[in-house]
Amino acid sequence: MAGLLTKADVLKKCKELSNWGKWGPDDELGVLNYITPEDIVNASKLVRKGKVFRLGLELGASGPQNGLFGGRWNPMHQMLATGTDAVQGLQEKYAGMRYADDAINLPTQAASQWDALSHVFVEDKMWNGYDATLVDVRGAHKNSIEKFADKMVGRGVLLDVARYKGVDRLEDGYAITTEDLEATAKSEGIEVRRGDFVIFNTGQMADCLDRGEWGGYGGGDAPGLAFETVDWIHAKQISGICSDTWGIEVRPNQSEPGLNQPWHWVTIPYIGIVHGEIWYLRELVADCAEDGVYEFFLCAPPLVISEGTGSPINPQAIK
Amino acid sequence: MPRRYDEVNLTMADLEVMAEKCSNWGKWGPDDEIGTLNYIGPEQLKYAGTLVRQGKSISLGLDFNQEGPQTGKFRRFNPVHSMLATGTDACAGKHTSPNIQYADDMVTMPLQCGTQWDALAHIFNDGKMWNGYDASLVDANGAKKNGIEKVKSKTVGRGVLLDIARWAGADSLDDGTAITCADLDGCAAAQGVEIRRGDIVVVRTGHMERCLRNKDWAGYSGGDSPGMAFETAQWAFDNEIAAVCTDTWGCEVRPNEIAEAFQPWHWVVIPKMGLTLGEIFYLKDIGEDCAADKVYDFLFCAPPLPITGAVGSPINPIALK
Repeated sequence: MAGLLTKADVLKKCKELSNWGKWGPDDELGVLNYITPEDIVNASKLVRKGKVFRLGLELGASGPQNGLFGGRWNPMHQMLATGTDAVQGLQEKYAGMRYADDAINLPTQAASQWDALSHVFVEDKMWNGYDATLVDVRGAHKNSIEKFADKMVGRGVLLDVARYKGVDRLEDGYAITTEDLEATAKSEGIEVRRGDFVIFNTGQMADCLDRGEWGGYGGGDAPGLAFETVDWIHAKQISGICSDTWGIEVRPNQSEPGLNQPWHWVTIPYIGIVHGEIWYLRELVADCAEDGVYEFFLCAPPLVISEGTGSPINPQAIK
Repeated sequence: MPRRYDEVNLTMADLEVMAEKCSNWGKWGPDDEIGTLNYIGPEQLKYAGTLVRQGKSISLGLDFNQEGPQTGKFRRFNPVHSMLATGTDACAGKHTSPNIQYADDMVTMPLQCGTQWDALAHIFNDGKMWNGYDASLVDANGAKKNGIEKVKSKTVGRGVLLDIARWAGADSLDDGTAITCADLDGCAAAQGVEIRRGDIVVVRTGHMERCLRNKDWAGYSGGDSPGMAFETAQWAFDNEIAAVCTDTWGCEVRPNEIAEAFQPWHWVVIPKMGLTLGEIFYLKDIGEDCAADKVYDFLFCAPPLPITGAVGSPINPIALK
């Protein structure tokens, strides 16, 4: 890339790739509109060996959040009733049975998650031209996560870029180009189609898990998509873009100081594409390498949080 | 047709007998922590995949918000959704993080405040939980055994809706109505659907829809309710089903059929049988869809959040037809 991206470069690309109005002025689904019933039927035919892979990182205190971005924290899991109390006969008086119960407190984007289309704004606007002020302290009154309740189903495709590059993990700062994506797909013998959920593997999460150290994973440097891939995502008409990294795009960003996550500016508010981030890909990656099948049925329902701007998820890849 | 909860006389002795008859302890080895979800194997999954014929996706999740069914009973409250960054702040130039305009949020919720799975660590019987593990393995730090994370890739399979309310000709079964084994079989036969080993059986009583229609949850959470008769523990055991889900707070009929035990069916099916329960399911849309196309089975996918050591999880179950 010749020099760092300026704000003008990014805004120009936003306008160039805008899908605003494509599905009418009231749309809140964005490129999920590409998925047809026929696509879902075809995707179900990818269930060939009856094997399920969970792509959700375990939610607990040892998660990747360390305060690098937005004051997010790891999930706090608290018990409301315990077995230790139960066996000491302390529950009968208020419950009449012996049980355990619990609660959780977490940022919706603490670990494996979907971004809703209300997550990122550009120049005070969000997806389809809605005002950013429609996301107030009560939540998102447009483009919220519950609009996706039954939508996160279709064909999943794994692009194992790390494997294609012959490394366990791509280095922080490595920008995955359009050429890398195309070449990875070709090496896997797979075609990326309209309506796909494209999941790419950098190996970053697996490396952090192996080292037992998240380091800068949650908002620091990372391998990820180059800014130029916005054209590929737009042209391919895919319905979701997901990875094993915190924020999908390469960090440090390819932009001038003062311009954070420039790829996000184009993808969420203008293309209208959902991001799946912090996905746990290890077993799926190993299985795809073994059987050479890089496509599967994907079902990743968000929690139906009214007016939420994201949701923790546990995506299921079924082969 | 369903009967009243008080048309039978059951005692704690009956509970003990049923618990022993329906025990699966050791069936999948001494280290098992997933119970009847073991019945879902590759063959069941492959078959479930063939049920996606129209490309239709239906959510069985109730919206998580302050209008939920919780009242504070059992220390459970409705989800508290709070913003960490807003569009209003972004437009006012008060970015929570510099150089990008964004919104972010958080939620605090009991794991069983809305549509949810019970983990096998949720209920104890005589100091033990599923597969004989000590209840004391669930302490203030969570469940060391039978936690919800153990089933993180296991709650996918063939779902079957038994629409008992519609079969009985009611919008909603009355509170205190007990669904019997004969009802389950009769409804399945009338719907032309066969119950198979490894099925996730979804039972519609209409209770939630009654509350939503009335805009009043009333006693939904922990009060009186239609639900499974105690005897259906045997039905679940004999049919080797993987899970039971309902549109009620607690699956089983309330008032309970055994006065001395709160939720006696739970005492049998979770700790002894190892059956996974799904509760507070939103079944209006799936009920209407199945009634329209007469197809009552589907690919069912309801992944729990893999919360380490949790005894339940909020979910958004998806039925694919």
